[in-house]
Amino acid sequence: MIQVDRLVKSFGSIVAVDRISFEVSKGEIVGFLGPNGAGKTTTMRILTCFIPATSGQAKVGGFDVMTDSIEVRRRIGYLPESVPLYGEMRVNEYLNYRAKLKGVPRAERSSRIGYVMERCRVDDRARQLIGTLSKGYRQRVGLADAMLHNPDLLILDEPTVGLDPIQIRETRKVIKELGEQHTILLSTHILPEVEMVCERVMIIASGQIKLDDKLANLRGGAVIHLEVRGPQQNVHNMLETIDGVAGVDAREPQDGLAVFDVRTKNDEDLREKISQRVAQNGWPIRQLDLRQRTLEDRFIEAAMKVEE
Amino acid sequence: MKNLWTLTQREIGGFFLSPIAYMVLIGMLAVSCLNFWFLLTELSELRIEAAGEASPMVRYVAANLWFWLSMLIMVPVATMRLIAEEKRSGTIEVLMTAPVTDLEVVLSKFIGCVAFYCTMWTPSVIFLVVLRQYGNFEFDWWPLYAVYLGVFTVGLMFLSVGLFYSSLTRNQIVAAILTFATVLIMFSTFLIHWYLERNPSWSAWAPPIKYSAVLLHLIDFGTGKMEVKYLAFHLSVMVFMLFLTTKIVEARKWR
Repeated sequence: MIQVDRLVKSFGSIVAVDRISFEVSKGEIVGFLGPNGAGKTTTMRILTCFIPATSGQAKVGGFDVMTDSIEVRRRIGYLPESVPLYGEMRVNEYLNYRAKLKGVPRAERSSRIGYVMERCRVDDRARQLIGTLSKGYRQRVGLADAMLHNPDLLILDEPTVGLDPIQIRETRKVIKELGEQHTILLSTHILPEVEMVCERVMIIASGQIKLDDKLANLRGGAVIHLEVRGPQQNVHNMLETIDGVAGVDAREPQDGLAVFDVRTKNDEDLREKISQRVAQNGWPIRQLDLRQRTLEDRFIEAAMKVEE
Repeated sequence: MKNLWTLTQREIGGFFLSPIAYMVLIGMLAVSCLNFWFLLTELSELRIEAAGEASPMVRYVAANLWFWLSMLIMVPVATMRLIAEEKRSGTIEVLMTAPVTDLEVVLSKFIGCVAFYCTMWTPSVIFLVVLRQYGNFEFDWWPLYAVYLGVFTVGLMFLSVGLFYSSLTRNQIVAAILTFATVLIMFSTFLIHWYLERNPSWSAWAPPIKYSAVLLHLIDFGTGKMEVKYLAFHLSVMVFMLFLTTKIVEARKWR
């Protein structure tokens, strides 16, 4: 559905997107995650043909965003971050106008508008002026607009920002349901949202993709947390010799104790082995436990990697 | 181009959904009334017209101070929000990511404001019809057709200039002031023309300057000197400005 190849976008001397490449296949719900200013919106604007890339190539449904812009735009539904709408129009007028622009055939238009209004639960405000709607309703009108022409690809830029918790839950539900028929690229910096809605996560920071994996794989990673009283360097060296250890990260010592996070191969639980080896060396253990690595850890790790 | 009509409908709707449109229309109605009153006063006095002078009818339509004051205000007000407002509110992002071309967007905005401009002029025309029907005053329609055609093409030119300025900025006030200044300059060049014509060493410059002295075009049209070159000038400025506007809208893709 989406093929992005070494995409670069710079604004003057600032490089907003720096040689990113990724692919999204049909039917995936991809969470586009990153801190503010990471380049999420810029990437989405390139994909929706609003701004062009400085270099590199992006294709949507096989059409190049630069050369076949109109064809690309026919196939996407886009919800921009600030949800700009014409405040002086009524909800149904606006959707009717957008449906005409997006080439929804006349015969299907009113049934399609009815369907999206019901789906996004704005049907009770059909005759209200958009300018008088609350933020949550505006967001839903924007979403209704995005799915109006039944596009193959939905690009949603922070669709739940500014909503109250109930609206957030409802919006996520709608997105999840939409994901059954559409490919969705969703940007956000709310981590639980990604965990609830998406199948795949891309973390972007400083214009580069730091991580791109299935959510299931990201969740699985476990780490063993160890606090032990002993010479830090010796303990470190010893831990690395244990079979099945993928890596040892020394943490800040606490109360004179050496603290480590041990990553293991294949998420093997090495707690017993570790305690045995530490005990053999005569170092007292204060804490030893297995911690699931959360998406948040991975996110911060990926984001920090850049700053170092 | 099939989206053009949809977009234009929204543009026209956009005009008449804003209070500014009604203020402008009321203002224009007041100006038309005032001019009509002046016309009636003038017609009821017996007076011999000098050759080459604008007739009271032409003065009623275009060769009067009120006409120019209203042009100076109406044109910027009608055009300032067209693109600047879309940029400021961000709706340009939704608009440009729909399957529409840049040219369609620019043309629809232009047609929208031309429609508004024509609406502004209807009272002035209706008054003339009333004068002929109920005032039993047999005047010649033809010079008036020519003047109204001139008012229309001059309007096209000014509106395209306003649209262009509106595409340059996201601030409506900036767009309005630039448009105002341009219309003012094109209006006041008739003074320069007047000076050049009377100064033998500079008189060769008078004809080129006359192209921008829009007031003189309208007076010429009204006195039977309907020169196609001035119409062509108005229309070519319009085409050029619309072309530039399309390029400016497109220019977001060059950065």
